[in-house]
Amino acid sequence: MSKTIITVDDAATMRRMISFTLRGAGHEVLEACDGVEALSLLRSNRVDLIITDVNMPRMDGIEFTRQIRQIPALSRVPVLLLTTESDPDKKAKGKAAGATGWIVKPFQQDQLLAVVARVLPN
Amino acid sequence: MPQRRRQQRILVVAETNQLPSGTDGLNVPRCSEPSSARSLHAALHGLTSKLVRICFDPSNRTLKRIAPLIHRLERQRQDLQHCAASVESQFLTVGSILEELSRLSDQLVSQGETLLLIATGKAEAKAILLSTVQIMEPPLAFIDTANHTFTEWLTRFEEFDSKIDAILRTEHLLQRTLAPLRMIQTLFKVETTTLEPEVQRMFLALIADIERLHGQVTENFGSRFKPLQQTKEALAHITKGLRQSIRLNGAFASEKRASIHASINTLERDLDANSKLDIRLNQTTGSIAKDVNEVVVGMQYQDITDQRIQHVDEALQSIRDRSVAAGHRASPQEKQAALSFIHHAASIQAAQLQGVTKNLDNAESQITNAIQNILKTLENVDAGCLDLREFEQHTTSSEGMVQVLLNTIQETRDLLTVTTKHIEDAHHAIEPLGGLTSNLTGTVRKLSFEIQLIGLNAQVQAALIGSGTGLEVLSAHISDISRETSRISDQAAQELDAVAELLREGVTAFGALGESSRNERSVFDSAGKTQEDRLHGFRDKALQTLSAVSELLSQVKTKASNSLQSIQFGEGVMVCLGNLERTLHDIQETILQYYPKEQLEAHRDQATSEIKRNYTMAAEHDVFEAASRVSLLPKSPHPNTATLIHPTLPASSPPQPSQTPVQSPTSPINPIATSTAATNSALGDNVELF
Repeated sequence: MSKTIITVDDAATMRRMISFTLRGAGHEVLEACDGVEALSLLRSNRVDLIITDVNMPRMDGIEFTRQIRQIPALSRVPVLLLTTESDPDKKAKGKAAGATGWIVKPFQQDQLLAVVARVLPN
Repeated sequence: MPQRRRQQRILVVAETNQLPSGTDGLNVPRCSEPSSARSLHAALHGLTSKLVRICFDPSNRTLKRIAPLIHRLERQRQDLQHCAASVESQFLTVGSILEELSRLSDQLVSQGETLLLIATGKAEAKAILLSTVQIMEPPLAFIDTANHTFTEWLTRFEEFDSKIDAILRTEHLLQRTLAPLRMIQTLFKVETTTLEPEVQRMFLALIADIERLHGQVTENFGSRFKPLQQTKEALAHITKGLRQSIRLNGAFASEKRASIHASINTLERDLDANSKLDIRLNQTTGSIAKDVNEVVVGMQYQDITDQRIQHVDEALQSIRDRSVAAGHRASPQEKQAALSFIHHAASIQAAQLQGVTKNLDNAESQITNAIQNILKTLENVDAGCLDLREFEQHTTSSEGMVQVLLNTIQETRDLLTVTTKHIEDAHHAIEPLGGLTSNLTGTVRKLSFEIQLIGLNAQVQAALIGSGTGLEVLSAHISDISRETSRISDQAAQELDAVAELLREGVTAFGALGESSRNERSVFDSAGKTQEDRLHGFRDKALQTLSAVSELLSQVKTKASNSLQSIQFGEGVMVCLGNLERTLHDIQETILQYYPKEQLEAHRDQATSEIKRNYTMAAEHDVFEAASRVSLLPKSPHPNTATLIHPTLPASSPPQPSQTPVQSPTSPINPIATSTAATNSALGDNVELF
């Protein structure tokens, strides 16, 4: 079933590959280049899942997750942090901020889709 | 001269540096102290020592030597930023190509599936072809029936022809039989001249009857039997038509049945062979998906290398800042610590740059190999389509199965029309003949009766006159002639009855056959038209799909070939990375010229602890640890580095399974990932769901 997913990453290549993978599976995809732009988009768009990078200008993925969890309408939307980072401290911060999962780049297409299927609400 | 200038410069540096007392041996007496030879000597000794230490302090010399290298590093750092932007642009171009390639590949696979649905009979192909065969059977069966009827009636018409011949021969027999009556008439006249007028009149009346009988025979057989000759000719025409129909129908039905049978056999063979292609296309779909995934993974290295480059950039800025800071009033220890930091940072960054170079190289190879694999897979699809061209021959060519069936429908329709016409012609030709023969039969029977009456009358008259006269003999002759004539007439009448019966049967049979033929033609006209439309639709769809597959194949192959030329991330950035790496090596070498390695190692932990703050990326861990010999605990997974790099795989190697990231055999296990292995193992070691 088609879902709407927002992908937040300052790297255009990553946004492109994530969108390409998700759209290929029939999902609708919104794109934002950082947390600030994503929050702006989320004010006017309903999404089923958020996939965000961690290291981004203006607002990083962990702060973005923290803010998402404070918005009632988005508090239960799953957030996946898709990042090059594998530092346990950062991962712990992501978890504490309310993230649903942590994926270290690069992802395999099947793998990303499997994770998305796992965390998406039925 | 250069040596002196250098010493002067060192002095200036020494004077401007504020070195802390007690740590550098410069606690010489100030001018306020008593000026004695001893103290002067001590002061001079101290100053000399200081000057010697300043002049030969390796920190100052090293810092001075690396200053231009730091400038060069700064310039190259800026170049690297431009190159990174250029690499991103190239990756985005490849991303566009990938999307286009994937879109075209999806379309190609979809069209290929449609084609195979047609070619393997999984679509309506088999049903259409078999239903065509089914609708052909009733008209072919009718043609068989008509042929059987024609053959049967041909035999009967031949008998009919013989009977007409026999009837026509009856005239001659009767004329020959009646011929003696002429002479008997004359003899009657001679014999009756001596008799009484009453008897004479009676015999003259008998002679008149004989004369009238002659007239009737001549009239009936001479004129009223003439149409029988025309009937004979008409029947000859009908039998000719029937023979033609029998020949055509017989050949047609057997040929068409053989042709349809052969087509169905060919279809079965094709469908069976194409089913194997179906499996191949499914494998193709899977193969392309794997290769697309390989490209997607390779593409992500733009982000990874970009972040590594940013980390290198930050480290280079630290090198620059530490170098500048060390040049400004730092203590020798601080300078040494700074140089140690610069040395270790340079070493780690050089390794990082090698890692970036390797990442880009591998990304390029991975993407190039994947696209080459896609091209190879498409070559296989192309080869598969070559096999399918046989199917194309069967479906779309003028000799193909579809055309055979279309031709058969049209030929059957034509043959039904011709057969119907032959039946109707025969029916129309026979129908009036029935009435004609009925009239003739009555006439012949009446004639026979009259002849018998004349014979009887002659015998009665002769008996009345008495025996022993010539008239008695003549009457007996007349009686004989009458009996013979009657026999011949009766036989002719029987023949005519038989002919009449045959004609009635023929009229009935051909009437019924004509009705069936018209019905059959009407039903087949409608069903044949529907079937022709379906066959045309089937052929058009097969043609369109074959054309679309061919066109898409061409597009994808062109796109993939062109894309291979676009995937060259190396050119500019590799030069930048190489230049930077050389400069970092130069810095290290320069530092090592003045400091023994052991001395630098004393500050290694301090230096690396500063540097490692940046190295939180999985891709950087191995590089950092190898270069710094400092472990980044807890260990992080390295699925990404392992996934990207397949250095041992040749370009033609099949893609690796992509369900989970490929992990290097030597890669350590991620403790965090393994802690949730029960829930996440299926998702891969680089995934952790909280």
